[in-house]
Amino acid sequence: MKAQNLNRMTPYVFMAPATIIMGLALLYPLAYMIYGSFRAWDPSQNISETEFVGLKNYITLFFDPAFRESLSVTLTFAFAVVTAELAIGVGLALLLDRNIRGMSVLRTLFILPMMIAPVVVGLMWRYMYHPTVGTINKTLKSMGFESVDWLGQHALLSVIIADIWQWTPAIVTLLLAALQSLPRSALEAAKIDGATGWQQIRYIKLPLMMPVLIVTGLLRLIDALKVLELIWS
Amino acid sequence: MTEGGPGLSTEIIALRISGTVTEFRELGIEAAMSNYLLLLLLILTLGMFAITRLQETRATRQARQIQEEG
Repeated sequence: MKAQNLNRMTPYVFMAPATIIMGLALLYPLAYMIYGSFRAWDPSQNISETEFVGLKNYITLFFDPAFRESLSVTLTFAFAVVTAELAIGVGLALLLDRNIRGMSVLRTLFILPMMIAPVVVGLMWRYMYHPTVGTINKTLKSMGFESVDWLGQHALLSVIIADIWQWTPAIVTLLLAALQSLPRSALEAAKIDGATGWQQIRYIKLPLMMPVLIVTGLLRLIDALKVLELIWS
Repeated sequence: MTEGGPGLSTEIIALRISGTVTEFRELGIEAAMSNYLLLLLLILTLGMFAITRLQETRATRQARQIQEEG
């Protein structure tokens, strides 16, 4: 009788550590934040001393032009980054999906940007974008072009380029894995029917990759919406 | 890279949340801001789940159709 009870308990016992950590590290702060968002709360106050203001905070924010501006900047950034990364990522993955010598070396090189901490990437690009001594403007000048005011006039574009540089490899890696696991039979059938390379990509590879594409795009979108270190550093 | 500037041109929400806590000392508004972002992310995530489920049901329906025809 007792053993049976224990048996029934087993899954919950195994689940307990993860549940406790989730509750302490995720659900508790989340509930705290939602609770705090309904209060006029100065950092020096204890939360029990604060005054309940209902939805006032949300309404203030909703009509705050600065908040709307930063919301639109965030959305612009996220969608621009994801579109560009998906386009470049699909292209690179299609190019890399063949038997080249030194493929593993290439792949390691491609993943390098992903391994750098975003803070470092931000700093690195900041120095590269420097108006007078940055690498990019120096190169442009030495080739006879006008220097560009990267972080002034084109700040958002510069940030977008840096993010594309860092995260396209992730997309390439995921899409390459998807490409290499496509059913060979469909591709062979298309080849026998005389499909050109472009037709194979357009009618066979892309439709079969679509589920992976959508999931990768959405993951990147969620990630891009909460980017901080790249711009902040 | 730009710390939000010049002006508000690269001021993303995460930066705004972390920056204004120290500046305006309004934790309630900061929390509300994070909740807006959370809501946005939640909608996207739920959308992702919905799309995955839609694709799965479509795939199973197609498979059944092919079986019935064959």
